[in-house]
Amino acid sequence: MEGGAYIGLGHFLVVSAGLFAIGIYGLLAKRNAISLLMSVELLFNAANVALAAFARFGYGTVQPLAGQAFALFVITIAAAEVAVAIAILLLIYRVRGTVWVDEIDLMKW
Amino acid sequence: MNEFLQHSYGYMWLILALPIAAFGVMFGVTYENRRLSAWIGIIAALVADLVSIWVLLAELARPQHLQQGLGIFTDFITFADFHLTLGILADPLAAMMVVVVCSVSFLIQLYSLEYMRGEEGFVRYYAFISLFTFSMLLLVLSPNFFQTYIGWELVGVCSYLLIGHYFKKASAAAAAKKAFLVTRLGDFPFLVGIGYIFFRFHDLDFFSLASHHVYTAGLVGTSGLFVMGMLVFSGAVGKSAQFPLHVWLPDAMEGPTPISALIHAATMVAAGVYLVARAYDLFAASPAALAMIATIGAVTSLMAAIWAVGQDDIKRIVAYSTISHLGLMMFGLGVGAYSAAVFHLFTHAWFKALLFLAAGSVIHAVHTQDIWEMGGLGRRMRWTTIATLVGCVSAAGIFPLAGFWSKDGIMSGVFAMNNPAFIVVAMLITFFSALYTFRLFFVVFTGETAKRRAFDPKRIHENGPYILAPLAVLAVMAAVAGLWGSPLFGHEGFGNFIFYGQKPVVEPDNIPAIAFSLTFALLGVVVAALFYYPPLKRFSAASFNRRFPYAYAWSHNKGYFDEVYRSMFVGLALVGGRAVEWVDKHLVDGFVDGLADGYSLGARYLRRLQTGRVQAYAGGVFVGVLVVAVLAMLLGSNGALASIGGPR
Amino acid sequence: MTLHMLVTVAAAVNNITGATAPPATSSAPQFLVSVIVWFPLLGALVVMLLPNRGEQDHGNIRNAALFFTAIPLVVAFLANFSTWTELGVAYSGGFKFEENYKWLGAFGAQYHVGLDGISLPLVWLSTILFFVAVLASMGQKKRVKEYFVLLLVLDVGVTGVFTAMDLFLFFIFWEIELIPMFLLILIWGGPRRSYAAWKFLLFTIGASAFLLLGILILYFKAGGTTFDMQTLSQAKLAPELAAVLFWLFFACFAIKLPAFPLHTWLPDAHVEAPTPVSVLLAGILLKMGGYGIIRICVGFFPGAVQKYSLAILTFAVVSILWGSFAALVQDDMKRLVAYSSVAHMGFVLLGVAALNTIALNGAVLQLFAHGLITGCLFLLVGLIYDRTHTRSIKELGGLAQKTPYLAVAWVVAAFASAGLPGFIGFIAEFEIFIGSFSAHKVGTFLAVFGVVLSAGYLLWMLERVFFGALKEAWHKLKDPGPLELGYMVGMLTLVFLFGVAPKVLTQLINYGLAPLTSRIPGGGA
Repeated sequence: MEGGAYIGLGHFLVVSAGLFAIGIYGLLAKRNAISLLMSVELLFNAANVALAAFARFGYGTVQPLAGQAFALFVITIAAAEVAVAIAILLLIYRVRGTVWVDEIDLMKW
Repeated sequence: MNEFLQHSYGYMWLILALPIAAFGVMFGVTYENRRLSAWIGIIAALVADLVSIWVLLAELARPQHLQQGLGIFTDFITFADFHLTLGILADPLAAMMVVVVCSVSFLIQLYSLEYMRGEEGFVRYYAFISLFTFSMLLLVLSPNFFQTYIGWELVGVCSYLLIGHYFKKASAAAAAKKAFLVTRLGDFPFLVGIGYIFFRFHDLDFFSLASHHVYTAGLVGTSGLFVMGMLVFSGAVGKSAQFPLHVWLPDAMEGPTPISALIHAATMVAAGVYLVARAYDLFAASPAALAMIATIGAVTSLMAAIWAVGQDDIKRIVAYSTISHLGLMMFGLGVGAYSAAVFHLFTHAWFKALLFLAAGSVIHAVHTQDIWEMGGLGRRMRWTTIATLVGCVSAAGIFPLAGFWSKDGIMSGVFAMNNPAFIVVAMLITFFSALYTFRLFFVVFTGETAKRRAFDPKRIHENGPYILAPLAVLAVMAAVAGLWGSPLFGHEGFGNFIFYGQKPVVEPDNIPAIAFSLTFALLGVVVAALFYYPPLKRFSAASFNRRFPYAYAWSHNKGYFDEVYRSMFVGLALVGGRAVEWVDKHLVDGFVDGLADGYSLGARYLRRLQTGRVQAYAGGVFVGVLVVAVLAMLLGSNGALASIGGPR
Repeated sequence: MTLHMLVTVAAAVNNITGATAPPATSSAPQFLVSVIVWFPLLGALVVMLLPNRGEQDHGNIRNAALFFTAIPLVVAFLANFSTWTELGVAYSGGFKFEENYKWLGAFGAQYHVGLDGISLPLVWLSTILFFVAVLASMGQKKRVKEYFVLLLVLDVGVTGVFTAMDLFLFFIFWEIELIPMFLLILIWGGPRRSYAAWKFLLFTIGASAFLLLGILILYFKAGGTTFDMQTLSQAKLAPELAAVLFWLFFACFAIKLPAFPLHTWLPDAHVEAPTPVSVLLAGILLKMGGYGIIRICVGFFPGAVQKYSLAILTFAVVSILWGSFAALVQDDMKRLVAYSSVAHMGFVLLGVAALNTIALNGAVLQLFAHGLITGCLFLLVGLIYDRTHTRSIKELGGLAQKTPYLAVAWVVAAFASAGLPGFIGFIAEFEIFIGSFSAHKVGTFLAVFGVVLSAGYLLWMLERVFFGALKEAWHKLKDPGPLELGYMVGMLTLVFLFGVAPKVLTQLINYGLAPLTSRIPGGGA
């Protein structure tokens, strides 16, 4: 607090927000499904950073360790999600010959 | 009371049980055997008739102090504070009527052996007669309004079934339906009236209602009593074919002639008069109701008598005669000539059944119903002619046959009212009754045989014993039944009987009334002779009709009531139905379908949001979350969204 | 009076303590009601497992369905016999054959079923009609297995509704009935079946929404501890709340009944449904609406019913006249009978509006009577349709000459429907009129006019279909076979027997209604 640069909760949250913004941008703007997946990973990690930061600095009466536990949980989920998504993508590529999401709109009305 | 006569009450259930058992046996067991079935019906009616005569004798010997009906009662439906009962009631009125019903039913069935021989549906016909007899007796022996209503509806159905006996004929089927519906139009106010009586007095039993003087106890005001009386009377109007519900009876002649004699002359149509007589305390409590009954009776009687003069169908003439006589009975009840009207009910049954059966005998011989295709039958059908003559004299109310004795009582009652309009109408009724009766007689039985008929007059011959025997019995009754009301049986013989031995008011015989009525009746006979009896013929009906075309047309077309009713009621019902149907289809369903259509229309556009582009969905999610987050921040921890998260 | 109060209170105490109370009658069989309700479901499972290849298998399926509807019929009449003896001695209202088990304890829903004087006649009715409906389905050729499975599931739903004593259970049974009926119309229906089925579904789902809302509000406002109907019926509610709840429930049941202006699903559903389904639809499903009104609207909110009796009366009278007038101009015989159902169900409402012992008794009896009689009429329309492949009155004519037995059955059924004495319908209508007159004079007068109209449309139809000259097309027509005649005679005999000995039913209903009428403000005499 007094003097010197002190890295606090705010800094972590800025990083997290930045990651999130990049992820969102990628998710909405990219056409390649692989890029989309990577963007989703960014989003996950943004959340993880925030969770870890809150766990470290505390927030209200929330149990500190809960944040870390959640972050670990999210990493697991993310891994599983990528595995499934890649498998689906591969299949789509085999069948339709493309991974560009705007060309994959079979589910429209 | 005589021990033997006393026993009769114990066997009264037989009167009801035999006809219904006969009906069941005929339909269930002996349907294939025509002769056996017919005889089962005949024997059942005969035994019931004998029992009923036994009961009548017991009633005649009944001690004066017993001013109550005797009977058997059983609970039909029970409530905590109220029972609907069924029962068998014995009192003078019922005993008299039961004898009439059983006797006529027996004679008709005997007659039908020959009349209906070889007809399709012979057993069905006999079975329905037995069912009818049962229903009619249920009505007559009823101790309360509830059972009366049951019998009331059942006789209506039997009438429907028997009028529609020749159901392949469209006109018969239509007439059957019309008869049922028109009478039901009268029945529904009757049912409401029963509801009214129950609501006010919590009782439906004739005797306890009368004996506790509930009608006059002030529980119901004058107008209430009038309404109550009129509601009940509506039933009688329908059943007894009174104006304005008289239109069904002439059409009912589509049924076989013996049926017309049984149901539409002697018994069922008399039920309306019987009901008014049975519930007389109710009407007596309201002078306005009595006046209404008298007026309706008088109007009906006069109009029907005039219409009868303009008819060409022999059965329709007799049918209008029936309406006229029923009107006369109502007239009598309305003016307070209670015992005379009831007595007319009694005598009318005999002479009108006789007239119908005689007409049937003629029809059976010549196979036509148009009186202008008959003529000169007197020489070929001697017995039928004599029987008809007896019936005509009796019906015209000419001394000393049955019709005279009952009619003179009614006339005395009318004169006692001192209402000039009533007296004039009564005289006109008498005149026209004699006129149409003897018109029928002269045209059918005297003069030359009509030329129009296709077949040889020589082939016409008298009918066999099964037809003639009932005619003979009825002719005797039509001749002598009136003596019960004559001075031979003591002053007020019948009146005293009906009032349990002591008529409350002794009406002196009104000599001018009797003289007037006899004069007008004879006048009617003379006019009929001048027009239709060839030796005395001075006027031509044809030229009369030419001179007064509207009078004739009005009479011939029965006052155009059928036409007016058809367009009014049938038209209204159909228009109402179509209107309702239209509203259902277009408004109600239109609303419902519109709701569904609107829904699917909205969906057709809203589904465009479903682009199938994964990034569009992701964008949607992102924006959504953003909105929620911003809202949460703006509203803070105190806002409505505080519960979503955040510290407390 | 006090005795059944005691019974009610005792039952309520049992429910609150959650005790699995033994039925009040020790001699009565324990699982009688459950057998009636669930046996058809067992049947549905069995039928599902049966092979379904050739005509032989179809026969087995039909026979199995017959068996699984016959057993509840027999059992229901066993209930009859054991109730008989009680009738003479001690039965004075309240529920018998109760079964009460903990079920969803978390929010106080129980498996609680039983029979009383109101529900027993209706259970008889539904077991009879389901049996007859299966008999009438013997000629069903299309997707036989699914058809009978759905029929049997439907059976579970309706008997469940009549026996449920727990509002949650009631709602579940109420919903169980929906889908099989929808599918039966949708798959086995006539040319416009899709429209009719969806219309039916839309109306009834809408009705269910009101029902669910009503149940939930009642549940929470009454403390949120129990769904037991007897307890809830005693709940102390503010009059305004009771009024709202009354209208919610009434809206639901009026759609089902159906009352004007919510009746238009009925003619369409009937016209498209196959004959046996029409029989069930008119014979039992409409009765659920009537039962609901009497059991819940009258039973729970007598004050509200009394307060709004004029509104109910209006619905009743309009329904009666509306249905009757509409029936007059119909050309399709099924539509005619369907509209006549609207009119006859209006009489039930009339009885409810009067809110006294006699009229309510008549209303319950009318449910029973109309179920049997209209069942007969629909079966008879079906028998004509099977032979002529038309239901158009215009196209028929003079049939009595070729099909005398059918004509006799028609005449008897038509007169029974028109309220002729000697048949059960008359007793019901007479009671309703007598009772209703003391409450509403003009309304009753108008309603009774419906009796004239009902005779009008029925007799006019008979005239045009059966009497007069035989039309060319029908010269080769034959009377129905022994099976058809058998169940027709059976049904009509019941209509007649109950008509000459109505005391059996009226007595039963009287006892069943006693706890309800005792709560009507002003005694309901």
